[in-house]
Amino acid sequence: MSTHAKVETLSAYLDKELPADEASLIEEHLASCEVCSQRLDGMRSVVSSLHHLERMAPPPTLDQFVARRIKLEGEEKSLVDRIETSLTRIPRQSSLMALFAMVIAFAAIMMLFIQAVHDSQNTMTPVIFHDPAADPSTERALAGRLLALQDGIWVEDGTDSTSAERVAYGSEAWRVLVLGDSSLAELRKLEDPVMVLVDGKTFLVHHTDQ
Amino acid sequence: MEAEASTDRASTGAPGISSISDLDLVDQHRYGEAAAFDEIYRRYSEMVFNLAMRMMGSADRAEDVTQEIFVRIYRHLARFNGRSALKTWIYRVALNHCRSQLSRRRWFFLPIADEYDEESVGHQLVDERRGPEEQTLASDSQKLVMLALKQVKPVFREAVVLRDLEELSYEEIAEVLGVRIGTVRSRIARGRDQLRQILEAAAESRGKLAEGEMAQGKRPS
Repeated sequence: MSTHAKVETLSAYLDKELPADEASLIEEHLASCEVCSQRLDGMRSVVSSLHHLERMAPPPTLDQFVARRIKLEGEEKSLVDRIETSLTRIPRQSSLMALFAMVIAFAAIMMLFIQAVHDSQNTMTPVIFHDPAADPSTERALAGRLLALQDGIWVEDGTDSTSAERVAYGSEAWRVLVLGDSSLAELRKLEDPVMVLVDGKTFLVHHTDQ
Repeated sequence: MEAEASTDRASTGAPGISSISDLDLVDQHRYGEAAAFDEIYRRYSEMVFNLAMRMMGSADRAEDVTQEIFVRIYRHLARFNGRSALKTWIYRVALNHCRSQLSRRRWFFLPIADEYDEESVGHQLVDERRGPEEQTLASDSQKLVMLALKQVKPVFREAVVLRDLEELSYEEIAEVLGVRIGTVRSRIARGRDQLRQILEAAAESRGKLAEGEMAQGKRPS
């Protein structure tokens, strides 16, 4: 072998994926070619580094989030099934009525789909407002719930949220935004309305300038 | 082999269900048995999360993406036809979703260079402007490898991840990716070679940085 070995060949040799005759040719070449030997050593070291990367356990919140999303999916599926079942009960001779029902069903499925897309976007960004600078009052109504500002922390139902980026609140993981002018702009980038989780319940909150 | 691996992962499942084969679980899911999907989640959530972690490059993104992948699996599981192993099918669903998320991020948030630029990548890994804490972070070999892996083009990255982290055979990777063995071989090789060059460039940049700091230290004030 007069020229240097291809990267593909070295990599396959490393994985013992070369046919025996090709493997012995490469071994012969490696014995006399410093460049290819070094390249193979570098590749071997990369593979070894990858093998040493630790596997991570999924975060404990993942189970809850997946269970909730699957439950929602199941509810939507059962509604679609019910619509399909009712469609099959329509007498065949009444084709106009069947067509009408199909249009209604299609519209319902589209609405469910749009809602699902919307929900999936929102559920990814649970947010609680924390805006001590912009509002001097110590109380604020948030989607029908009353939050009180105590020592710079919004408190509701005796549970507080700190200004950490993510805090556990009941069984939910929260992303807390402390709102100044700049972070308000960040919040506006999120889809309006923003999904807000308060005490385990979900609210949709529209942005306002106050 | 599949059944063994599955049983190992499912040691905490409900009595009996952990010994059911993947195919039977899919059948039970078709008949509306909720526990069947729970068991599938238990068997494969760690695998999917780690794959997402390597593909997306952060635990936060991996958590979000893993949720979305399991919703997809739930939606389409009833149509799984058993022509491949369930594990292979799940890998395929997971990688397809990671790819679509990566392309979306590329458009909106994170442009990834089309052409691999050794110099710039080396500087991204070891950047003089970073603070001492970040430098320490990057010097941690695991994080360095993770950062470097993130710089590898996704099409090569997924082949390397499946081979060197998930330890799949070339045949299994070909099945997951839906490509020929020759393509698998080429992608693994190019991914490993990119990674090698990135890590070598990073080591070189770090060496230059250390030399600069030593020279500054020696200079009289």
